[in-house]
Formats: sequence, structure tokens, C-alpha cells
Amino acid sequence: MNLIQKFLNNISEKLQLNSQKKEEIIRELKTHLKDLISEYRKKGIPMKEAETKAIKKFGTPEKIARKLQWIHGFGSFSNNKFKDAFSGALPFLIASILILLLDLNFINSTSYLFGLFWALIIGISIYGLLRAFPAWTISWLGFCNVLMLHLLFFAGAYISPIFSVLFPSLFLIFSIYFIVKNQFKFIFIFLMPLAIPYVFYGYDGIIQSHRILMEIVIATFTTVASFTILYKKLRGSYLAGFLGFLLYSFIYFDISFLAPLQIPLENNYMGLLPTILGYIVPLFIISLVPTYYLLKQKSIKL
Amino acid sequence: MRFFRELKKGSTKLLILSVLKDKSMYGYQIAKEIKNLSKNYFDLAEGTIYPALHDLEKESYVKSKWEKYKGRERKYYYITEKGMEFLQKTSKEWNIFAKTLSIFLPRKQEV
Repeated sequence: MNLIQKFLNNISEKLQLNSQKKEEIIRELKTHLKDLISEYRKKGIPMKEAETKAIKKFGTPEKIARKLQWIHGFGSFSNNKFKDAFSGALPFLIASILILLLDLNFINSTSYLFGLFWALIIGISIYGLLRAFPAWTISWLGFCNVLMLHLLFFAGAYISPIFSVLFPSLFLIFSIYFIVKNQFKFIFIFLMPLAIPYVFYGYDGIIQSHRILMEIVIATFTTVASFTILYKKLRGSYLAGFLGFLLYSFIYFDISFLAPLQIPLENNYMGLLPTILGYIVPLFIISLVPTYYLLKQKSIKL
Repeated sequence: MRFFRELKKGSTKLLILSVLKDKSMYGYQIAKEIKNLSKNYFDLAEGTIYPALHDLEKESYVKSKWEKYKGRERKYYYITEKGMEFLQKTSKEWNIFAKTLSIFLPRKQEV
């Protein structure tokens, strides 16, 4: 393998993009390197030295890959979009299962399973950050909103206002700005988890006192989103994704909507299957469908 | 000097758009053109051109197309209407900035 191929392979390995995009970038860099080598060769520089000089003029593979990753990486897909959509919808499925277990009194809200769930959310968000947020990691980042809201609404009495108010507010403002600036379409996936706290904490009666505030937050986001959709004349799948988001929020907000599908389960294990079919599956499909449709779209810039 | 390094880095996109305003070019050609026109003052690391070009394309300031020239395929970049508007607006701002700054800076004979 010659030096140039090794250099390009090095960049290619560091880029976490779909193969088509990656191939195009490498192809372009290769034509440039060839031109540089021809230029040096015309000046009488031996081949090996010309290659080394061209590579040196290009800069380090790490630096080039890092810059390109941040340009193409945000909201990027693997070659399997269904896998991306599934990975993107997975936190909703886990959340639905946890809610169900809570509902069945199998666990309580202080269970270590919630700790594991949040650790997973933070872990995957950090993984996403290190890879310039591939599309499927954005919903996981969206779940950090729930943690932030938790800090904002419930932790004020225990910790300093800097952590309980300033930090979550800054996180929300910057993350929303970051997503809108990069690819607006992901805002729906990013905001979907905001509907979760009501279900997580509603049973403990904590959220009731903040219900109006929570509804104002969601209403503001949906108003801004619908205004932008109309303003930008977005149609088709965007609308499907947006309606999915609305439906998802409303169902989570008024969980009693699903009540007819549920069978009273306390100490009745026979009722588990109908509940799974009637409760988790619809919620997961509601999460998966908009996630899939939104991920399918091409990027859109405001 | 760090100040000028940052200034040069911040000018990369503007330089690219400026050389693309008259004709389409590919990456290597853009780098050469910038170097020649600036009499070697702007000798950009070749690797920095592509992140800048791809970012400009993402912002719809340029468009690209693979074309064959003398038997070799190259990706040509074209400035778009949006890119042209941006260039005109930024050039205007830049001229005002440079003119205003020069009022404050000491002249050659004063230094």
C-alpha cells in the first residue's frame, strides 16, 4: 500500500459516515493529492518525496477527519435507515417499559432501573457528542431534556439554584439552538421526550403542581414548531413526523386515552400480554413512525 | 502571530467564494488560485479547503458537480445566487470595517 492510500485510509477510518458519503469525500481528496504530486513531480521531485510532501501539505488525517466529521456527521445515517430509526426510537421503548413496570407496581420511582436508564441516556449522548451526533443519537440527547427538567422543577430544594435553574436552562437553550442551526428536522425527535416527565412523575403526584408550567413549555415548543413548518412550507413526511410528535405528546399527557386498552393488572400476570400489546406496542410504534419518517428526510436549513 | 492566524482562518470561506465568483473550479485549483492571487500570502493547508468548501455547500453558497477534464474526474464547485449575495454583502461590510479600522491604526511613517 502506498503512502497516499494509507493516508486516505486513515482519514476514511476516522470518518463515521455512510459509505457513499465517505467514498465521495475520499475520492475528492485523492484527486487533489494526485494533482499536488503531479505538480511536485514536474519540479523534478522524486515520487516518494513528492508523496510525502503532498501529505504534509494536506495536514494531519485526524484534523481533516475531525473537521469533515463535524460538517457531515450531524444527523448522518448509517447504510441502514431502519436500524437508525430503531436505535433512535429505542429510548422511547425503554421508557415505555419502565412506565409500565411502574404502573404495575413491579418497581417504584426510586428503582435502580431508572438510574441505569439515565446512565444509558447520558452514556449514549456522550457517545453521540464524540461522533458529531449521528441521527439516531439525537433522540437519546433529547432524553437529557427530561433530566434537565427534573433538575429545573424538582431538585431546586436540594441543590444550588445555579445547578437547578441556570444549568438546565442553558442546556435547553444551547441544545435547541444547536439542533435548529444544524438540521431543523431533528427538533421534533429532540423534543419528543419532553412529554415523558408527566408519566414518570405523575404517579407520585409531584408533577401536578407544575402541570401548567409543563404544558406551557410543550405548547410553546409546538407553537414555534408549527409556525416554522408553515413558514417554511414544509410538507409531506415532515408533517407526518410533526403530527406523530403531537400525537405522542398528547397521548403521554393524557395517558387515560389508552386506558380502554389496558386490563387491570395488579397481581394478574395473565393480563401482561394484552397490556404489552395494547400499551407498549402502540407507544413504541408512535415513537418509531415519526422517528423513521423524520430520519428519512434530507437536511433542511433555516 | 495568533491574531493574523485567526484572521486568515476566518477568511477562508470568503476567499473561496471570491475566486469562485468568475468561474467554477475544483479544490486544487482553488488553493492554487488563492495562493497566486495573494502572492503566496494565503497559502492554505490543502486539508482546510475541503471542510470549508463542504460547509459552504451545506449552506447553499456553492454547488458541486463531478466533471471530466483531460481524462480526469474532478469535483467542480460553482457559486450560487445565495453565495453571490453573501459575498457582495460581506465584501461591503469588510470594506467599511477595513476603512474604519485604518482611521485608528498608525500610518507607516508614524510607526
